[in-house]
Amino acid sequence: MKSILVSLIMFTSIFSIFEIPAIPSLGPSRNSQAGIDPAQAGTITVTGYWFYWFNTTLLLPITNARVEIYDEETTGIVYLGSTYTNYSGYFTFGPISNNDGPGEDGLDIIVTVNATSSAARVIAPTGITYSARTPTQRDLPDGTYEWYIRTAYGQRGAWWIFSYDFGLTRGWYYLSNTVGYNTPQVTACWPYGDWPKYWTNGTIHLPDWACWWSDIILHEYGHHVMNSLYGYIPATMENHTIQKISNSTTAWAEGWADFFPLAVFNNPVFTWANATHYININLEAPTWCWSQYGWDSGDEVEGRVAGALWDIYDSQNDSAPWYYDSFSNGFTNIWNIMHTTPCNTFHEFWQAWYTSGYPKQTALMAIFQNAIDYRGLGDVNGDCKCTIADLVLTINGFGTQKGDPDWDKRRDLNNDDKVTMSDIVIAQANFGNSYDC
Amino acid sequence: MVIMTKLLISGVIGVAIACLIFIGVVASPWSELAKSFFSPRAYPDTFTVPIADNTTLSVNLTISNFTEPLGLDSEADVTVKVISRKDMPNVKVQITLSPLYISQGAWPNITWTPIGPQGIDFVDGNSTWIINLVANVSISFTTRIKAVEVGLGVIVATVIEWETSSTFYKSEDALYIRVLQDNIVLQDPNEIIILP
Repeated sequence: MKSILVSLIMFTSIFSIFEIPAIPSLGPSRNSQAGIDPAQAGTITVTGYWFYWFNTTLLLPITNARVEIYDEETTGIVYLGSTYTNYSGYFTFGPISNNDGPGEDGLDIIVTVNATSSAARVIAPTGITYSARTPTQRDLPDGTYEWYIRTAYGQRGAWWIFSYDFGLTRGWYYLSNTVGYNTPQVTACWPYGDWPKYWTNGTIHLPDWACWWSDIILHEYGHHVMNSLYGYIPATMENHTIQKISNSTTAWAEGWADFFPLAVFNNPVFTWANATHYININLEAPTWCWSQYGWDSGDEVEGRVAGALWDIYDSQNDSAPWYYDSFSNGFTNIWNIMHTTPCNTFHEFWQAWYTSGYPKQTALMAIFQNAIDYRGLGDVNGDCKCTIADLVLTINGFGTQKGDPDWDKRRDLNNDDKVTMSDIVIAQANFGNSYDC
Repeated sequence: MVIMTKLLISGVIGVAIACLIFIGVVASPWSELAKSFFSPRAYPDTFTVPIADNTTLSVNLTISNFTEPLGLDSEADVTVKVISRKDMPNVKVQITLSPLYISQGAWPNITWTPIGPQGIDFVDGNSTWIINLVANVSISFTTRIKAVEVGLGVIVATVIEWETSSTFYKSEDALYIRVLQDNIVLQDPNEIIILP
């Protein structure tokens, strides 16, 4: 019924759809009459905004996409040049001569937008880059044109992946703006397969459902960033979960990739999804004693690694009773380690941090907040030496155990969830030691 | 000599520990130590949320019976047809009218403005229904709209049903209507167009 009606209406007004006037905003037309002299041709400037669909009622700007301008001739289309959209989806091209040949009116302009830039490219499984083109705007008089152009609703998943709002372009800009890194181009193929995957040739495969989940897109982009820095990805187990022990290399590679979207969006909530469900995981929250929520501890757990990186990065001090993280160091120092020292494990990352001259004690406790304990034996407060302060801390916790209101995990040096003489003995036995953590 | 020194240090530390234990544990009730640092904490829950199944439940919008002449003041019937592949009680069907918006700025810090007026409005009748669906039996509802000004309107029909807390059905259809002074045009959202 709808199609019949559409046909009916289009029959009566088909030109209305396409004749949407391209309004010159300056300059009188010199080509308003047919058959202009090429020598007399003026110029034309094409500007405008490209948009993609967010939902049925909202269009968002396409950022940093290649725009190509063509002139349609009877023999085919002629490439005139290209430019890129800016943050607002805006592009401008020209002025160029508005000479369409002897006996012709002005140029017959086609504008395309292509999901490609030096940052990212989004392709269909056929290998074709997603793109959109305007209807031909025929016989344009001289002047400057400003068009608001929307892409096809059916392609919106591809533009989400490409976008600055939710996708690969956002990841690229984040590194460019924060640390000045020019990440090599990544290619995303969508829809492809049934699970998101990164390949070390710089390709991401995304299944159809994955286009709507920015944390998943940027998780895969995080792998691309690591690969571009290291030239490889540390060996990764095929099956891994965010809260369970995998191994040290998997936890590092995946933990970094889990952390990357958190930094990009400055938000500790990682949204994990599959084809039927999603879950919001606040990586600020997991700490010691989270086994009841299914979390393992240590640096072989990717969610712990991501949480530790987040607590180094973020400006939020963690709250009582788990107040160990008061570190707010931002992204740059994490990046400097990533950039200069290929690490295969989070422990290697910590060793590189330790020798870098960056703050140690606060970083150590931010990591400790996430159930990763890199302190030396007896070093309760994480200042890299075992002193009387550590002894006092341990002794003051004597008799407490997990679940008590004044429970302080730092004092539990033997990790048995209670502070006993054993912990005091550990502190005492290591008294005077200094640590290269 | 070294051993003697270590033993001496150990002895001194042992005495110090004993004193500190006495001070910290006996003289002061341990439950009050460092009390000000601790307070009960509510652990955030994490739970999985279903993503809408848009294949079991479907909705289709049509528009018909435009009054002549087409253009301002034309009226038309908007019909929403709902069908499910399984029995579903308490399905909510809703039709909304909206302009088409464009945004500037990056998500989520965006500001959006309508491209222009939505151009259409409801004439009368309901725009929301709660229904019980029988498998493979479609139900249709009709409401009437009117072209009230030049603009671009979006008619959105949404059907939603929460079967359980972990099963969620939702489907959506939309029509795009451009109202001109003397014409009315349906736009295809897959058409790449220069907006008015």
